[in-house]
Amino acid sequence: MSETVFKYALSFSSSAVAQPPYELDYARLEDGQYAQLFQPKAPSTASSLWSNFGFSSVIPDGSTIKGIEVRIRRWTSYSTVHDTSLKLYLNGSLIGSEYASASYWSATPIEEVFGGPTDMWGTTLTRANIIDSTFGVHNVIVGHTDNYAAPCMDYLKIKVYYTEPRTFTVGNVIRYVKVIS
Amino acid sequence: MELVELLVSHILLPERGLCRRGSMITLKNKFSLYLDTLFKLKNDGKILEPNINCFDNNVSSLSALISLDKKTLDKMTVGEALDILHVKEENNTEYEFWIMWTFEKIGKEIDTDIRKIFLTKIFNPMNAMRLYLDYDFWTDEEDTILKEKFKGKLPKAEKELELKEVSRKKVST
Repeated sequence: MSETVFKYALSFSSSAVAQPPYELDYARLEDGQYAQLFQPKAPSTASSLWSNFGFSSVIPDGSTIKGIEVRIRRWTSYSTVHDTSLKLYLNGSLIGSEYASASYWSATPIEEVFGGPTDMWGTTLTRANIIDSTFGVHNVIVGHTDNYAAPCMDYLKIKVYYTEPRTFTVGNVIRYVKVIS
Repeated sequence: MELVELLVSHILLPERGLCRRGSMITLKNKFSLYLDTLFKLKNDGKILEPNINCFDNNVSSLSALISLDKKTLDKMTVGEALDILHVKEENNTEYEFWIMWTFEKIGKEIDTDIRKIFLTKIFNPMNAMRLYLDYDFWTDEEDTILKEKFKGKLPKAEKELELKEVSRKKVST
């Protein structure tokens, strides 16, 4: 099985506004900058979407997708922010199983891992789906604290596990014949 | 003025505190007592925790309550207020987060009849799981209601629960 490098979203949007000077766009890349969402006093929700990961150049045409690994680095100053949803997203729809964690967000920065080499998130995905610019991860969070929640998001990155297509070159066919004879 | 303050100012009664302190609030208690308990009013009737979003502009039924005259409001029970607010209506999703917040604030102080009505407004499986994990006041029947709301819908979170990576406040006997 082959795997891609971790790729970062080219696009990020959120229903929440950013708390200056921490811009929303800082939630995309592993660059030492992070986004801090501004959420009013509880209970309040915010949904965020990372999409367009640019996998077209790294997954060969004809490959079969075997697993999706998502890593998010995030934390909050208050311990009462949690996910209500974390799902894959494609072409305007949430797809697959619900991967929200039951844990409250950490008070200190941590990288959380969702999925893995053989985890298809309860759905089937083709290369065409993965390279689609709308493919991404959608996350909904809620804060139950009486204080202002300040969820911080540093980055979200995705690695795709896949098997390459069998190619029927003359060399491959000769090797195959040798193996079975 | 926040809507919630407006509501409280309309309903706040001089005779609030009709329910004996220490007993649970029921559907038959005055709505004013419920609000008093929820917002922990100071003696001058001002809210200790202003600007809370529990009744916000998304709760469309709130205006119906505020539009009632004070005399009617003064006599209103919790059950009647929940009727006017359409809390008991099936598939009314606008109260979910407000109810999450209410359980946090006074879950222990409202009786199981009110809690059962509120639990019908919890639709998000993760919200159901958080309620299940965070409070120790649930009855066995309420445990079952909550579990049914998230069972089979949160593969990652349910695994965390199974492996005890997340803990529950209520200690099983």
